[in-house]
Amino acid sequence: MPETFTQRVSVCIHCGSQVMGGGDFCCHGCESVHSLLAAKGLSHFYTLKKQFPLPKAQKIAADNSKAVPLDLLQGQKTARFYLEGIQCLGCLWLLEKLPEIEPLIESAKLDMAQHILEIRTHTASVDWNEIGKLISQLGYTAKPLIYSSADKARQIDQHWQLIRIGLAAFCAGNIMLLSVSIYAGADTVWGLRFGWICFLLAIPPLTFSAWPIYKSGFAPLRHRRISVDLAISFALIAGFLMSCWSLLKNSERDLYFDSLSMLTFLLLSSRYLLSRFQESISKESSCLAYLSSEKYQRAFPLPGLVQPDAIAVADELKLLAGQTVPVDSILLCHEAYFDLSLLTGESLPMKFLAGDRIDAGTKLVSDFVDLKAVASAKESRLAQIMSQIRSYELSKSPSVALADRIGRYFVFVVLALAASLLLYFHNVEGVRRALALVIVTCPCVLAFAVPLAFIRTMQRAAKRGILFLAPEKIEALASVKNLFFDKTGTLTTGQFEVLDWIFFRQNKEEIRNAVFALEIRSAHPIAKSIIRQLRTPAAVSMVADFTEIPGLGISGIIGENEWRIGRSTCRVPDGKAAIDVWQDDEIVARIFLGDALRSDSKSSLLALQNLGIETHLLSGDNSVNTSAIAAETGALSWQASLLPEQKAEILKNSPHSAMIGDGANDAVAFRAASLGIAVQGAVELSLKNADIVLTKPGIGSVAEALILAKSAVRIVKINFLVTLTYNLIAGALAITGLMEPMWAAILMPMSALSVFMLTQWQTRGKLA
Amino acid sequence: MTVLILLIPIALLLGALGLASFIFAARSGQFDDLETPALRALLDESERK
Repeated sequence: MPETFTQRVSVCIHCGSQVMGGGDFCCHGCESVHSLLAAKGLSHFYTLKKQFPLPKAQKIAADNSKAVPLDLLQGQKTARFYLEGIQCLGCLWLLEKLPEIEPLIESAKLDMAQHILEIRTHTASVDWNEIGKLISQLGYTAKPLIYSSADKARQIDQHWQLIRIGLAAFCAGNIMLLSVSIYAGADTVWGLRFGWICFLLAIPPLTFSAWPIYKSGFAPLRHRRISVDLAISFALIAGFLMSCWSLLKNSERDLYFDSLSMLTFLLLSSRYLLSRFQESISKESSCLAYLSSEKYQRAFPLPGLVQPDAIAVADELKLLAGQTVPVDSILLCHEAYFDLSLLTGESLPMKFLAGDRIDAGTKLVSDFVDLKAVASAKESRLAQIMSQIRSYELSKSPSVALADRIGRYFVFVVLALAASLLLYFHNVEGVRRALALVIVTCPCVLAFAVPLAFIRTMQRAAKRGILFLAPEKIEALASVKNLFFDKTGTLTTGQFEVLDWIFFRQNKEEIRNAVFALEIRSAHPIAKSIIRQLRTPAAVSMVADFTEIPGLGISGIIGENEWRIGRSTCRVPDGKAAIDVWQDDEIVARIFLGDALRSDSKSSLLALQNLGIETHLLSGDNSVNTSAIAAETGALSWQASLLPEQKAEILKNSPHSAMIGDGANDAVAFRAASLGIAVQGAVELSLKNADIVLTKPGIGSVAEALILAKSAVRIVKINFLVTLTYNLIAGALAITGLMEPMWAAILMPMSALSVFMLTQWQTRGKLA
Repeated sequence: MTVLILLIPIALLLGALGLASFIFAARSGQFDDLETPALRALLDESERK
């Protein structure tokens, strides 16, 4: 039996993680942070931490010798840092107490949402390296942020947007109040006075506040393009001039200052809300979920759990069994087994020796190893996919393009109708109707509701481990009828697993126990597969004379029998292996190993078939293995012994088809299919050609992706329908003169906001 | 009714005061971070040392 370690386990005072072997702290970092806090009288931090507990404890990296050099900040009075390790209210409290720890610091302000700390000092002659050290002593990694002029400009622009909205709100509100008395029938003298006050109040919103609308309305004209804002700009200017003319004619009738300023206010605020929302989406970029799904134990230079993107070249990592190598690395341990099946398709794990280079994406089979990173995550292929996704984010899907085209014709039609109304009536009534028409009809709903539905869907999918590499892939997936699966690594695990046991003698329990006792001592991958499958027996037998001969097998004496486990001489099909168990030179059992079906493959295929999808199996493997898997999963058809080109040929000939696979040989098929879906751990070539990448093991998320895609397309259709119906009805009312311009001014932004809310609400919630 | 000549400017002036303070708040960046101040309020200042 392997030695058991009985260790006292305690809890680290600072970070709350378990400490093996007892003791107050898990590491020197935590100890030094604790003593620093105690010395400065800031132990209240721990009370706060208890009050607002965290789900995950994070090890603190406090090694002040490794603080990021901050020489470039010297001579500044204020600086901003991006902090790693911000978790809770305790962090906020602690960091904003910095002025009490270091008297040179005047103030420290933390933005919890963005993890940005702004530090202001009393003098410019402060040593920023010292401050950086102090922050890292507290257990945070501070990266200086260079405040680029673009950031500054964006922030100032946001301030101005708010001011524009505030000004428009103030003026519009007062105009409304004054207009009420005109509508209520104020006599001509007072009515005119009110009219003139309205005129004065309408000037700021219609000039300063509405400026961005004019700009986006008229600027595209220079490139001979018509923008949606053109009609609105016309309406604002024409309405204002027309109202001024009535005022000059001493008529308090036909004043539209109220409608126009209200329109400006509502339009600006709905746009502001939308831009704030889109900004928050782009911040929590859809791919972050992908990268941060797993954390890695860093041993050097800063001990602690890190996310893959925080790993730098020359960092040393401890990798646990089953973890995927996050970045290209060099093995530091003596030897270890890695599963390369994701990269090469080889089912049997490979042995690596110290100094060997291991590519990102390989999986550790041995217990744990030390690695040294030779590339950062940014240089890995994950990063390349991420940048690809970003560049696609703005590309246009068929629906978006359609919305754009409709939008442009729309403006033409509305302006033409308005002009004919003016010509037809040739009086104030014509102006009133034209104004109402131009204001109330609004194609901008199409311009933002459709992309919003797709972006939201991509975001939701990413949280479930499904990455759509471009928005139009959502529409493509929704129309898929046939799904073609690759076998190895997609429906199966692609790893060696125990498939079957044959016993030649009846003492099954004794044989199993003996095999367990022997195999638990071996580090060979096959031994690990067998151990995984066997239940741990109540008592593990004692083994004497354990010997392992590489390539041949293992042997040992249990009780009075000599047991031997080794490669069988019987013939097995390609891709499988057989192991014999000898008890005193007699074969007592045979174990078959091979590529086993994933546990969720069958249910996933069933779920897809329930959604009306036909599932097919395409494999390069022989027909015996393929038909067995097809029968087990319930796939409708199968084809075996296919070359990559043949796979591609099949997909080319079946419309509305998608290919799901992992290997380089599927890459050709991805190109030929309407849609390629790469499963987790797929090789680079297939990732490059894929349209959708699954980041969870197995194919369980395919059905989810399909449901999401279908609901997204449904939402887009609803949006189109709602917008067109609204515009037709409202337009008809305006042309027939049943709608006042004031109603139009309120309805239009409301309709835009309600479509926005509708999309928001429908893309919320859980999967059906 | 003539009192309106006084009342309307007063109303507008009061509104303008509100507007001015809003502009001040927006320009000084009080709407930049809408999350942290809510959390900061939860911290007990009496716990200072």
